[in-house]
Amino acid sequence: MRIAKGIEDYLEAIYLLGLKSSSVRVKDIAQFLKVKPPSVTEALSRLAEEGLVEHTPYGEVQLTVKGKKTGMVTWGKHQLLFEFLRDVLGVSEEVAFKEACLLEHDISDETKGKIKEFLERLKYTLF
Amino acid sequence: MNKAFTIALAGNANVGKSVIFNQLTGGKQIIGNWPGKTVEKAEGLIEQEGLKIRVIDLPGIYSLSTYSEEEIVSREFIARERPDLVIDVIDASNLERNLFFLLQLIELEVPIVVALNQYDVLEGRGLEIDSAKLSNLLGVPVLKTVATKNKGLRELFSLAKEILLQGKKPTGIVRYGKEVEERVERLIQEIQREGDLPYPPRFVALKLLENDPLIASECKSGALLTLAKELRKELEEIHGEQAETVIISERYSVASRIAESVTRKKETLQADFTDKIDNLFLHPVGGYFILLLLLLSVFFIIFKFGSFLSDEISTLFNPLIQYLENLPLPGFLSGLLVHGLVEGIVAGLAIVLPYIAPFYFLLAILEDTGYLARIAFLTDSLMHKLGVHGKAFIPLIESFGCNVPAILGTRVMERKRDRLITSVLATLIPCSARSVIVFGLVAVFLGPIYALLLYLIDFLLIFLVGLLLNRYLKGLPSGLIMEMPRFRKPVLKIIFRQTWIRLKDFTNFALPIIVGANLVMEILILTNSIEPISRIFSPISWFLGLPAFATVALLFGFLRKELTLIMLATFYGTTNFGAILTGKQIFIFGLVTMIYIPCIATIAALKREFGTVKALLVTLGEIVGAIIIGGLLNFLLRACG
Repeated sequence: MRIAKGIEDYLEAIYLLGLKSSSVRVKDIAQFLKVKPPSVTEALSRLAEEGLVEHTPYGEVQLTVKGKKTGMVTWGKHQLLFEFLRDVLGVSEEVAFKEACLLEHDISDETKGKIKEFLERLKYTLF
Repeated sequence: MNKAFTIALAGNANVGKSVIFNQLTGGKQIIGNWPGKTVEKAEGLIEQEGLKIRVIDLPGIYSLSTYSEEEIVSREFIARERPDLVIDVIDASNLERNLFFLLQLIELEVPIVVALNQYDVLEGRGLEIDSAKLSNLLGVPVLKTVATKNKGLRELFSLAKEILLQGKKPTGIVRYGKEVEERVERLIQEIQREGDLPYPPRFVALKLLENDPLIASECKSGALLTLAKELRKELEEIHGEQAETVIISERYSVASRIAESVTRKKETLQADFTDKIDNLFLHPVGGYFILLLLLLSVFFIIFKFGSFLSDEISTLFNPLIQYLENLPLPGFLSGLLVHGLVEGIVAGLAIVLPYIAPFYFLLAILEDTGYLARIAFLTDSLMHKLGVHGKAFIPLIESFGCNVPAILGTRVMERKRDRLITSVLATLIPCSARSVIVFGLVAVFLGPIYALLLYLIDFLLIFLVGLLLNRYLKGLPSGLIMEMPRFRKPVLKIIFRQTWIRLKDFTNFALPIIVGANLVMEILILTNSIEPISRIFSPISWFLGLPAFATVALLFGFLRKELTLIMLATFYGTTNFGAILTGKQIFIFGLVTMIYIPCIATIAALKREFGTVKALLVTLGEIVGAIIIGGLLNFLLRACG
């Protein structure tokens, strides 16, 4: 199944927010993604249908194993691209971050692997 | 072999026929018109290895009926000119519609090769086609191609040539529903009586049921046409639809059934499998349980296998050492040769190798199956508490092998703060050399439970140090790089290669150091310099409750951690450490070895990454810390008796 763009963004956001505090609420997600709370609620119900998140009775959102996996990997890809854009290409930090957000969803495993290899090679041959 | 062959390219419009045509003919083509018709045809000639092949690019059509001029032209060409081979170019991403055409082509009973073209588009949608199954179902060879990228065309062409020379026809017949087949059967009998039609009987029978006017006009016998009319009527009564519609929908349903049975969702199938296993392995409770079980099994396998191997290898070398000892050599030389050189090599092979070989082997298995990434997943939140965040986990895992690449590996992290924390924690992780001490000394002479206890103490220490550093080093922690590779069966070849690469490092780099250090130690012994050196460290010895010489052995650990153990063996001339040290001393020795700054290479790596000052601070801090912790444990144990 190909997970659509928006879904990955939500999972990534919930994953990151979950690292900072133990409970993630709709409001936090809305703030983080700069969207309106109703859109978050709607997206969450879609995520719940796909078995990616679970609602707790107190209105908190929790990722399932599957959801956390996707969120984590998306964030990983984000960091990889961010580093690549900023450190290798010299893109400014703000632009690099924003565009990593856009690229992270569509990048193939092959390209991802190559960028990773590239960064690793760079890191070992710096000295 | 100078016969000229004809290949016709057939298929729907926009499936890449012309691209394949151009690739086959090298773009040299003649555009002409079919005699008497307004339909264009492209024709090319290939001459290769004495083979003359005429290639005809038929117009793109969707059926072999009489709806359009193109359809008629194509049908007539195939039926009357009987090309030696028809290459049906299929749009793989639109299999059903293309199969509808292919089914009719098969009914014309000409040799066919199917090019499953635009296969990349299909893959892009996360789908795949089981081409072997498709080939089986249809009785014609099927090849995957991406004409625009020149993929699979060479295979297609060589298969085409093969079939040209053999003249292979489709082997299977695709059957329709019972009502249709019964009537086809009856018509075929009548058609065979008619004889001399350019089309195969089955094709004619089906076309007559479809009420094809051109085919009907070919048939001279009135009886056949009357029968066909009758049978059509029967079909119309059964299905309540025009006979033509019945045949078409039968054909469509066969096409869609075949398409469905050979098309798979590529990613979903694998993802489902991995997802299912992950639900178990990454379960918030069960996952940790499995992790613990796995780590314990790894631990015991290394211990059991290692100690067994260690014994075997030692026994193997005993006769050699005895033989060398009995050689009439001057004492000094004999000492250097036997105890310094040979025993150094034996120590490396018998004490170190038996433990690091299975260690690397198991690590490679965990890595190759994809489980290592799951460990990262499970420990992610724990890592965040340490302030180093998931990304740090990879260098930390690497650290179990060797600290040096781990410290260099911290460069994946953006912030110096994260890199420093991770590096410090990495130096505290028991690397393979330290594991040798834990396994070869503590586990063997005190029992595996104590070895586990050592690990536990060490992990607790790492956790505490992480918490402290996280609190007192300023700055925000940053993210991680991680992948969740799919679970897969470990490939033995890869695992052996990985193990070998890491082991080679040991034999090339560590073994010479071990032998060299052993020689130095032997010289110190022979020149009676151990005494004065150990006297310098007597306060530490007293504090740790270790024999004076054990402290000197710890000094050698600066070169490589295994040396602490090997030096003990060299000095006392035995590997039965239980006879030299008390249980308490063994435990403290193991603990101190585990914590104090790993080795000269690690210090060098720290210096390279963070500068001399920080490297020295970390080194000193860890030495002092190790002595304090070891000393405290000593007094605690003494107090407890």
